[in-house]
Amino acid sequence: MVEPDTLDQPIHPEGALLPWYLNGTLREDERRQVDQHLSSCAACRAELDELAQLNVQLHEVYAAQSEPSSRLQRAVLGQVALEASTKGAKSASGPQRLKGLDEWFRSLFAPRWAPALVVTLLVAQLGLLLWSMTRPTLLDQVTTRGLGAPTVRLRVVFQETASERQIRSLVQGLRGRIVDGPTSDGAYIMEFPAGDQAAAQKKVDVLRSQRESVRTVEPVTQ
Amino acid sequence: MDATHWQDVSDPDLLAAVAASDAAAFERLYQLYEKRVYQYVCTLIYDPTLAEEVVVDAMTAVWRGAGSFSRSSRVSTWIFGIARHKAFDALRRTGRHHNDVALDEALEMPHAQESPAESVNRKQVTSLTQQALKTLSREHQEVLRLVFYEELSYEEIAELLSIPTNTVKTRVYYAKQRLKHQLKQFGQGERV
Repeated sequence: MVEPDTLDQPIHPEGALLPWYLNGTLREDERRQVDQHLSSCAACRAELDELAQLNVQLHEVYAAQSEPSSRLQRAVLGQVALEASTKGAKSASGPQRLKGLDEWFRSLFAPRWAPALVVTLLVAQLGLLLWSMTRPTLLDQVTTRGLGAPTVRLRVVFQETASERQIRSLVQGLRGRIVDGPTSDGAYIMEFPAGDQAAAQKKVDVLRSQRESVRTVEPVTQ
Repeated sequence: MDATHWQDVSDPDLLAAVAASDAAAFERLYQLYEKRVYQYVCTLIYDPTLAEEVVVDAMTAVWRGAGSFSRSSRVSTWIFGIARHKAFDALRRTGRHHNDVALDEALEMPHAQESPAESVNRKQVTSLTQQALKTLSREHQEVLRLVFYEELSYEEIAELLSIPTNTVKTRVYYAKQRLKHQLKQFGQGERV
């Protein structure tokens, strides 16, 4: 339904306010304005009388209207009681959860954790250090034959006629290497692996047996 | 703490307590508004059973939404607003929207069978007024109730119905004219 915004017959603006003049909700300035108008307008006074009578009749009608059943109150209050208990449970569990979260967060900084954390970190650091020390590196892959296994050093003088190929073949055959020389008298200091005295002597014997290439062999005293 | 504790507490304070989940405060608020809300809903819905369902929905919505009351309006206007919204929801849901008595049809309603105005007593006048009211459109019944029984200002009615204040004034004026016309038709015209 669309109500017009204006009245279809000449009605005083104050006349349109009469229902609210009657129910006492007009602002003070509006009420004074209506009072003033009523004192000089018989039509609006008659309209006010009609409204007053209608007001009484309507009150009687509304007062006599049927009341809701008792089921209604039970239904509403029962529903609210149910929701109140659920809400209470939820509001109780809400702070509980927040408290738990707070305690967990604080426990991260609790002193009882600190020593354990420090020890754990130290152990981890030590383990990392040991691991890095024992881990083979590129430098370790460069062998220095003078280190590690026991060796014997011999002072060897080759024949003047010995070729480089003969000398290289002999050194490689005995798994030795030239570590110094030649000296002023043409000697080379050679190093061979030898676990004990017998092994060292064996190296000496082999070298001396190669007379085509080796002139003299003498152990180097350390 | 039971509802009697809240006996002399103002409506806004009651609602504030309801917002704090005070079930006893709600019970008191419910006692104050049950009949008014139910009868207002009956103005919009002519089925008492459906009207009660609407009141359950509306009042539980009051319980749940009490915290959203801003105090910029009266508690009654706020509650009626919720009830009105729920009533129209129910009308849409049940498809009863078009069963109302239309404004134009109201004038064609058959005359009541009661005696002439000279012989009716007070009870009969009330009965005639009640029947005359029933012939009005839902909108006219609604504004008459809001003005004369709930005593709302025209600004409050405008806010509740979401219409301009001028429309409120004209609607009330025409509602009163229609009612007067119907009472005349029923033989009680000279009393109004």
